[in-house]
Amino acid sequence: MSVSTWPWAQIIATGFSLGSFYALVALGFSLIFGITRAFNLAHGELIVLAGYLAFALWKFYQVPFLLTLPVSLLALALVALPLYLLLRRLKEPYALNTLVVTFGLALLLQNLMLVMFSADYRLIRPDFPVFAIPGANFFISASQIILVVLSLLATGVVHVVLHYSFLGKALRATIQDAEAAQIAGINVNRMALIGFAMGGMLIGLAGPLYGENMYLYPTAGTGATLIAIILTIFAGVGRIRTLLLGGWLLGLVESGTVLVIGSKWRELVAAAVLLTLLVFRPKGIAARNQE
Amino acid sequence: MNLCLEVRHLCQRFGDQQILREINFSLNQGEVLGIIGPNGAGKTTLFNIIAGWITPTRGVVVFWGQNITPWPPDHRCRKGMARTFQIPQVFPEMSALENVMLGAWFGQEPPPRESQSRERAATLLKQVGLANKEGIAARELTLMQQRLLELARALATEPKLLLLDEIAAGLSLKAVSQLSDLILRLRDQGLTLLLTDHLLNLVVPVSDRLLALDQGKIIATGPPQTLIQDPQVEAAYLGTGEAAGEEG
Amino acid sequence: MLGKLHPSSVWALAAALALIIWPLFFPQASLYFQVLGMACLYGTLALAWNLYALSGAISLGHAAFFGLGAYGSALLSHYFHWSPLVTIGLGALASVVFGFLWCLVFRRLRGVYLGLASLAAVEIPKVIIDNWDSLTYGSMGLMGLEGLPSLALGKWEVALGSNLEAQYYLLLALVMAAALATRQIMASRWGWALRALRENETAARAIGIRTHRVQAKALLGSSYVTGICGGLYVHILGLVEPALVFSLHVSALPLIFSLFGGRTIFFGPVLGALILYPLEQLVFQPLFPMGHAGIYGVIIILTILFFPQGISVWKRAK
Repeated sequence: MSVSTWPWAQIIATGFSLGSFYALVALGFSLIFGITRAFNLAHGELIVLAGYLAFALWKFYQVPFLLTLPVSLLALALVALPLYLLLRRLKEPYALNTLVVTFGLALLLQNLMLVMFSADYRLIRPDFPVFAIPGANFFISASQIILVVLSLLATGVVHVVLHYSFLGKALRATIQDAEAAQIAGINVNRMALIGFAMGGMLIGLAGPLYGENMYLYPTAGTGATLIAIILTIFAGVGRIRTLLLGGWLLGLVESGTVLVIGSKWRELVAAAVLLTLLVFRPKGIAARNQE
Repeated sequence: MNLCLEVRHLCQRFGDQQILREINFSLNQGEVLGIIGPNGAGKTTLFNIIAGWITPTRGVVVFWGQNITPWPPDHRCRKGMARTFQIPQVFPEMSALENVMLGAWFGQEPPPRESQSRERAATLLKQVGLANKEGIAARELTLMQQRLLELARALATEPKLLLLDEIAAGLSLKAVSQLSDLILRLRDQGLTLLLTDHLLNLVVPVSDRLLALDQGKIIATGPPQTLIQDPQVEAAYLGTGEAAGEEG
Repeated sequence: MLGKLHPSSVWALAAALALIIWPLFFPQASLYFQVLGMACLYGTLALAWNLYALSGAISLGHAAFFGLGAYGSALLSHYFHWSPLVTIGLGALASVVFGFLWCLVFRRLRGVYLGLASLAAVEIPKVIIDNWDSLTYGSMGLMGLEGLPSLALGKWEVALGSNLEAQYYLLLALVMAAALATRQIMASRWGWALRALRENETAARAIGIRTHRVQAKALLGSSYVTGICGGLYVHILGLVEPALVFSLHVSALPLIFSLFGGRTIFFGPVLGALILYPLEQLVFQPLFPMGHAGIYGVIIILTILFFPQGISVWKRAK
């Protein structure tokens, strides 16, 4: 396939919508890590869990898709609370311990979802229209539009909160240097709780969107976690605009790869990107603080 | 007089900050040299370059006539250059004896037997006054004890040159005086020593010569008595607006 | 060679004896041979993982070595029809090659970042093997793999492939050899270097330890033995496919067994495997036919929360 015949319009459109979604996926992880230095390897599994929740509501209780979003948002914010309490109890080395504990949590969740929903692939299929763009050779579905709009909206809200509110200032101080923030009088524990709650809500938003655009299955979470880690390392903590940019880049690279080489190499591309980042920016996340 | 250490044309740059400018000095065998200067003068950077933890932007470090600039820290240790750290780097779960034993076992070429290393460790612990802490885990020791432990461990590597990084920082006057006696005894046994000190309580009584650093340059060098009266040195510590003046 | 006999070593010896002679009292226990045999294999795997962990590195991606060893052996066996005893040993070399690359690329990574990198690293051999249909049969994998051969010693013949009891003794011998080797390593000069590196890398370098070389040796040894375990696994099972040998499950188990049993004592990982694996297979599988592996997730969480040094150290401290 020569470059001129690549479906550029499709690649860009898909890359943009996928990328916006990736930024949403990474945002929850990045916030939690930034505020508490906890590595949540079960991040992807929680998103998939939220997706399954939305799927169950949509399929068995005939809840319209858009209404599953607020339910999922709330549910995952509530789930984040016990997670916060669990991770708070860990001792040094903190980051490594959270990595291993959430590794176990991911394993547990994968098996729970296997029991509850079986290994079959699920997809939420609401009756949304598909629009053909006159002149160009591709389609945009309402699903994609919703995906982009909600992802950008959520990212925008978080950005506004972080940079234009008093709470946001306290959160940013904690992200930059938790010890100094504590000395300055900020209740770091409460910031952590808020961080987890916000992270939970973002996961709750991402889940149903995931289930509507990509297949849900018990081990689907690992891909999402990988994306979250890649973008968080790339962007650094709390840098929302860079996160979005990174998301778009990754989305473009992936959609280009998928449309040209085939979707079976997706995981490898993601892994290769992460490894490159880790090797050349090993302290990428903690670039500002001394670990 | 043998030349133990030479530092020639040493410069260090981090990003757009020039940390060290044209550092030149040498150290004779059996000498005790103290490097002093306010915070931010570049003492730690210079120290880490000599010890092998940083590669200098320019310049060479010569040890007993050999250019050791590209050598990593472990290589330097095996060839006779030992160091201690300002924040003691002990092996927390190992006993004091085991900490020092490892110094003997790994710091020399060719390596001795394990039993020999253990014996040497016991002797050294007695020398620094930690004989009764032999079996105690290193993380249970106080700051002063950990500093002494690190010193014993460094000695266990049978060094020709010993580098002490702010070994007196945070210690009481009594502890500093104990350290002084210990260092002088080591000097009498033929060891060459290089110390950095932020305050002056340790370097002044033990050093043969001082090197004063400010803003990355050597501003004065000479015997302690003369140097502490040097107006440039006084100005560096008190007047330049660096944090130095705040120290008690 | 006996040196000081710690009480824990006496217990280990007693347990080893029990593991050897119990079949005399329960001759028809084929299920137990299978389960305990596998537990021994996982015990060896855990010891291999722990060798690298002794240097301070927590790997979340050992499935890469396991899978490469598995495929290495399976493909050699499939294409050249050599005996599994040969292909397992050779196939594990693929794991070592990957380990070598790992040393080079991950040289500067520590702690969490090393863990993340190892997690991502599994994808590389996995996706490549999954897609290289012409060589590896892709995601379909290989079935009908030759089982372990029969060994003939004079008039005795031992069918390692079909005789579950013989297989059990083979795997038991393997884990005991690995445990003894670990014990020797931990008491050796290299073992002390590993411990020093684990406890304080800066101090280790400052006293003359060649930390990179020490850790590289650990990784290469670890990758080879892990590869051997992978090879044994697929020849016992008779099949191989990417999802089976490159799974998160395979990466997680040695970590869980070692952390649960105790990382800093030579039999800790084996203890973890011998307690947890039969527990999961014989107690949890019947209760939860689908999601029984989830119990491992619970165990690792509880372990880190309540006894991060493992149960063997926990018992001693009490």
